[in-house]
Amino acid sequence: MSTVTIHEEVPGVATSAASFNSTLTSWNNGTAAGAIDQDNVLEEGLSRKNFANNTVEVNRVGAGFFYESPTPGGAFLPSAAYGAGVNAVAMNGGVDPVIIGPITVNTGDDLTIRCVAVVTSTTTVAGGTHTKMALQWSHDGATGWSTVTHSRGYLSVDNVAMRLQYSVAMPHTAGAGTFYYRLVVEDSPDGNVTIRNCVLFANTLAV
Amino acid sequence: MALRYRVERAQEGMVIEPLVWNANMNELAGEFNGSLSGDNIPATVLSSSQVAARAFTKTSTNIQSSSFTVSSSTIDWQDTDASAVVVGGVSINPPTDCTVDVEFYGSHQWTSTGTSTAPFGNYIFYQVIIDGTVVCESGPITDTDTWNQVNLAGTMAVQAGPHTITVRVKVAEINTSFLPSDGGYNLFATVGPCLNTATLKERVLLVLERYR
Repeated sequence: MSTVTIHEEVPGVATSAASFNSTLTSWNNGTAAGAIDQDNVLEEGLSRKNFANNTVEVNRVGAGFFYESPTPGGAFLPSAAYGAGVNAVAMNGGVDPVIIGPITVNTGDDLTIRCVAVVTSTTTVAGGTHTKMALQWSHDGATGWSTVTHSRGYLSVDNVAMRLQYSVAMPHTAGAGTFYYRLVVEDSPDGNVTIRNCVLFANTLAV
Repeated sequence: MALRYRVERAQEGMVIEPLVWNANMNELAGEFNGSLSGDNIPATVLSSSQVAARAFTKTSTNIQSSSFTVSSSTIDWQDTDASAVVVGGVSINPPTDCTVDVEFYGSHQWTSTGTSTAPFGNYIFYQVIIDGTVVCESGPITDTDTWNQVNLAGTMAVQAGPHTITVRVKVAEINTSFLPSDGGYNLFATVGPCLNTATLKERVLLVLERYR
C-alpha cells in the first residue's frame, strides 16, 4: 500500500520548511507512477465498468461446416503427415479446412477449446468400425499441425447423429503466442463419415 | 468514493490557519490511504495486466491417456483400476467461496467378452463427484455400440478450502424390461455384474473455479 503521511502544522507556530516539505514529499512518493496498489483501493470498490472489455474472458467461435467422404465406402484423402496406414483429412474435404484462430494467449492465460460436431458415420461393416476423430493445433494455421493426443474420440454408430466434444486447458507460460485449432478424422477404415454443424469454440481466461 | 471537498477554505489576504491546512490534507490522505474506488477510475481503463493472475478464475485439467480397464466383477463405482490407472480427478483449493464448473469427456470400447440376452443388457455409467456429492452423471450407456463416448457437465457451489473432484464409472447387467413408464432406466433393475468388459480410452476432466 502506498501511504501518504501528513505532517500536521501547529497553530501559533511558524511552520518549518522541513515540516511543510515532508507532507509534500509524502504526496509525491505516494502518487508516483506504479506506487498505488490494491490496498489503496476500497474493498469491493471496483466494478465491471472499470475494466476494459475482454479483460477477464475472451471467447471465439469457429465456423460450421459440412464434409462428406468423396468415395462411398472408400478411403479418405491420405495424408502422409499422420503416418503410413492412417487416413486423415481436414474438414471440408481438405480443400478449405475449417479452423479456429488465431487465438492469442499471454503468459498465464488458460485456453480452453471445445469442439462439438454432429457426426453421421456409414460403415460397410455390420455394427460399424470405429471412426477416430481428433483435435489438432498449429501455430500458424497452415503448417505443423499436430494432434492433441488426449483429445480424441471414437464412434461405431451407423447412421446416427452423434455429438463430439473435446476439452483441453492449456496453461500458457511462455509469453504471447498464437494458436489455431481444427478437427480432423484420424481414421475411419471401413466407411464414410459425414460431419454436420461443427462448432469450434475457444475460450481464453486471462485472470 | 472519489468526491472529497476541502473541509476548510482559506480567505484571500489572511494568514492561513494551520488547522485549515491540516484538515484539508488529512481529508485527501484519508481518501488515498485505502478508500479509492471505482469512482476514482475512469470506465474501461483497467485490463488484465492490472489484475493479479487467477484473481477471478482458475482452470485445472486432468488428462488421462492410459487405458482404464473397468472391472466387471463388481457393480460398485470405480475410480481406480487394477493397474492403478484413474478415470480422472482434480484437487482444488479455492481461496474464497466459489462456483465450480466441471466438464468431462471420454471414450470407451467394449471388448465383447460376453453378451446378455434380451431383456438383459450390459451398461456403463459415468459420474463426476465433488467431495462425494454427485455433480453430474451419464445414466446407463449400452454396449450395443462397441465404441462410444460421454460428455458430462455440471456446476456446484463450494466453500473456500480443499476439495476433490473425481470421475468414476461402474458397469452392470440390467433387466431392461423393468423400464419405468417415464422411459428412464430403473437402477434397481440391476441384476448383477456386467457380462461384457469395457475399456476407457482418452479422457479429459476440465475444472473451472469462478471466484467472481
